[in-house]
Amino acid sequence: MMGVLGTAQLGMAPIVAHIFSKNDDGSASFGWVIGRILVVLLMVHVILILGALMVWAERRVSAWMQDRIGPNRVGPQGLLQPLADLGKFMFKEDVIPGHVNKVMYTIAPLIATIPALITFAVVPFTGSYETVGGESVAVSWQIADLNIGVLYILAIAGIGVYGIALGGWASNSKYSLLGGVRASAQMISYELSLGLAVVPVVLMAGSLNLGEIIAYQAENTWLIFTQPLAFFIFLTASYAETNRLPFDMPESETELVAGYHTEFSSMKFALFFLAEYANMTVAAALVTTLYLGGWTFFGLETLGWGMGVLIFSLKVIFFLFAFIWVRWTIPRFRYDQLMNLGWVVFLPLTLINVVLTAGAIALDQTWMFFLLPVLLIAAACVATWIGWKRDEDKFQPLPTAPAAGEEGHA
Amino acid sequence: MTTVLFIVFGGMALVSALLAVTRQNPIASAIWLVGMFFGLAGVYVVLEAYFVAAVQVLVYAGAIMVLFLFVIMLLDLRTKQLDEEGPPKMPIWGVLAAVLFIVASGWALMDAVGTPGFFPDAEERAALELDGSAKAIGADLFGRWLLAFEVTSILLLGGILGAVILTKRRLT
Amino acid sequence: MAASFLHPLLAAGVDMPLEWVVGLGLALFSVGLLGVACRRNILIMLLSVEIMLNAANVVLVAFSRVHSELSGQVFVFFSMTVAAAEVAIGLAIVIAVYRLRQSTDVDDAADLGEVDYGPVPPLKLEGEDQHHHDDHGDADHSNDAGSDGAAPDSAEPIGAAGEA
Repeated sequence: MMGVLGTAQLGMAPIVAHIFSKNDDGSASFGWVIGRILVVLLMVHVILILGALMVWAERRVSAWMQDRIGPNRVGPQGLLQPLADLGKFMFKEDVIPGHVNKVMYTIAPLIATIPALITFAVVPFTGSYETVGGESVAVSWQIADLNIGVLYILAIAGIGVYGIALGGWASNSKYSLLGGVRASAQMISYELSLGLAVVPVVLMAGSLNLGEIIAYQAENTWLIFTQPLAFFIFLTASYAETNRLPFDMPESETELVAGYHTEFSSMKFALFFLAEYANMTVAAALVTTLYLGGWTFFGLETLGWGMGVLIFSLKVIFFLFAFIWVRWTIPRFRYDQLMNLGWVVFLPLTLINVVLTAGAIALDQTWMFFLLPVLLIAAACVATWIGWKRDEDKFQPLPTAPAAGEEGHA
Repeated sequence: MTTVLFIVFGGMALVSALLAVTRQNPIASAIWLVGMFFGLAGVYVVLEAYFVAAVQVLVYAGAIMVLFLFVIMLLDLRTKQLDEEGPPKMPIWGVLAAVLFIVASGWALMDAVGTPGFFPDAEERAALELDGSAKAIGADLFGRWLLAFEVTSILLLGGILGAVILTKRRLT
Repeated sequence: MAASFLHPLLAAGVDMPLEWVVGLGLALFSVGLLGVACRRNILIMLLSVEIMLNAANVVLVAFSRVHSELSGQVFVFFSMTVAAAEVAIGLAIVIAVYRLRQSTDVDDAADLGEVDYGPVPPLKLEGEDQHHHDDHGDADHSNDAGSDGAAPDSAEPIGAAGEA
C-alpha cells in the first residue's frame, strides 16, 4: 500500500527504500521492523522536544499577552530554557514523602505519560496522493495504520486519567485527593461529549480510520465546515480532557495548591508536566485530523514532498497556540459550571447533532448539517439581546457613585 | 506466533484477575483489574476481534473503572483502617467452591473438546473468514439484533434512574 | 484488513488451539467466583462480578471466532452494556450503604438477616442519641419514608449523617 517511511517521497535512494520495505509476500522483513522502530523513536523524540518547546512557548506567549518579557536568558530568545529546566528537574532530589503509598506514587507519573505518548502511533502526520484504481486518493502515513484509529485514540487517551487519579490518591494529601477525584469525574463527563462529537465525523467519512477520514475531507470538504458544532464541542471537550484552563479543575492552583501533583517533585513532576503537553499535542493533532483535513490544504500539499508535514505541523502548532491563548484569556470555570456544561449543555447538543447528521446523510439533505448551529447562534443572539435590554432597563440611569457590590454584576 | 501472544496476554489477564481479588486495598484491586482489561483486549486482538478490543479498553478501562476509582476515592477509605483489618480472609469453603467449579466445568470442557466436530479443525477454521470490523459488527447489531439493542437502551435508562434515585440524599 | 500493522505478525491467522481461550474464560470465571464468594468488601465483590462478565465475553469472542459468526462479538456489546448498568447501580448502592454504615463490609449491612450479627456497630444517626440500641430498625424505616419525601422531618438526621 505505501512505504512506511515514505522513503521515496523523502528523496532517499531507492536502495534505502528497499531495505525498509516488507518482503514481497507482505510479511515482515528485518529491515521493515528496523524501519518501524526508527520511525517510532523519531516520533517519540519529536513529541518530547515539542513538549519541552511548549513549556517555553507557554511562558513566552503568556509573557507577551501580559506585556512582560518572559524567559530570554538561556540561548537565543530563551529557546534553551527547557534544557535548563530539564537539568534542574534531573538533578533535584527525588523526594518521596513519608506519608505516601510508595508503589502507586512511583508508577502514577508513568501511567500518566505512557498513554499520551503511544496515542501518537496512529496520528497521520503526512501523506501523498496515489492513484488507486484510476482515481487519485489521499493516502496518509502513520506509524500504525489502524482501521479503528479514532477508537484507539479515544480509548488510550482515556487511560491517562489513571495516572492523575492515582497520583492524587497515593499522595495521601487533601489537595491531591481532591484533584484526583475531580480529574476522574471530569474525565467521565467529558469523554461522552468527546466521543459523541466524533460520531458525526465517522458517519460522514464512513470510516474509523484516520487516513480515510482525511481522504474523505480531501475529496469533499473539511469537516469543520459541515460540522462546526461538533468541532467546537470536540475542541472544548479536549480542553477538559487535557485538564487545561478553563477546565483545569484537577490542578487549579488557586484552590488546590497544585492539585494532583502537589506532592510530586523532580522528574516525577516533570513527567506529569510532559504528559499534559503530550496530551495537548495529541488533542491538537486529532482536531487537525478530524476536522481540518490533516496534512491537506486545498491542493497546497501537492507542491513538494515536505509540504504534508509542514501543513500538518502548522495546523497543530496553531491549535497548541490556541491552548495557550485560551489559558491566558478565559478564567477558570467553577466546578458545578463545569459539570453543567458537560452534562446539561454538551451532551444533549452532541446527541441532537448525531441524530441530525445521521438524518442528513440518510435523507441526503445538506441543510440539516447547519440547522443546529444556526439555531444555536440565533438563540445566543436573542438571549444576548434580551439580557442587554433587561440590563438596560435595570441600570438606567447609571448611579453616579456605584456601590462596591454592584461591580461584580456588570 | 498467535499462541505466544495469547499466552502473554491471557496470562497477564489471569494473573491480574487473581491479584485483583486478593488485594486488601480496593484501589489496588481496581488497578489490577485495569491490567486484566488490557490483557483481555490483547486476547481479543489475537482473536482478530479488533473492534471489540478497542471498545473493551474504551468502555471498561476508560469509563467503568474510572467510575469505580472515583467512588473508591470518594469513600476515602483510610489506608490505616484497611491495615487494621489485616489481610483479606478467604473462607476455605469459598476457595473450595471456586476450585470445585473449575474442576467440574474443566471436566465438561474436556468432554466437549473430545466430541468430534465440536471445534472445527485448524484448516477448516483457516478457511472461515471473519470480518471483525466496525462496519460488519454495526450491520449485525443494527440488523439482526436491533430489538435487543433497543431493549438495552431501556436497561440503561433504568440504570440511570436507579443510580440517581439511590444516590440522591433527598428527593424534592 | 483491520489493524494491518499487525498482519505481518499474524500472517498465519489464528493458529492456536481455541480450547485454550475457553479455558482462560473458565479460569477467569472461577477467579471471579472466588472473589464474590470469599471477599466481604462490597467494592471488591463488584469488581469480581466484572471479572465473571469478562470471562463470559472471552468465551463469546472465542466461539465467534470458531464458528465465524459475528453474533458472539455483538453479544459482547450487550454484555458490556449490562456491566455498565450493573456498575452504576452497584456503586449507587455502595454509596447508599456507606452513608448509613460508614463501612464497605457487606456483613455490616446484614440487618435483615439473623439477629446475632456479632460486633457490628449499630446504626448511629446524629441527633438521635435519645434512641437506644434496639431502635435502629425504626431508624431504617424512617430513612425509607424520608427518601420518599413523605416525612421530611425524619429525613433530616439522614442527611446530617451523610455529611459527617
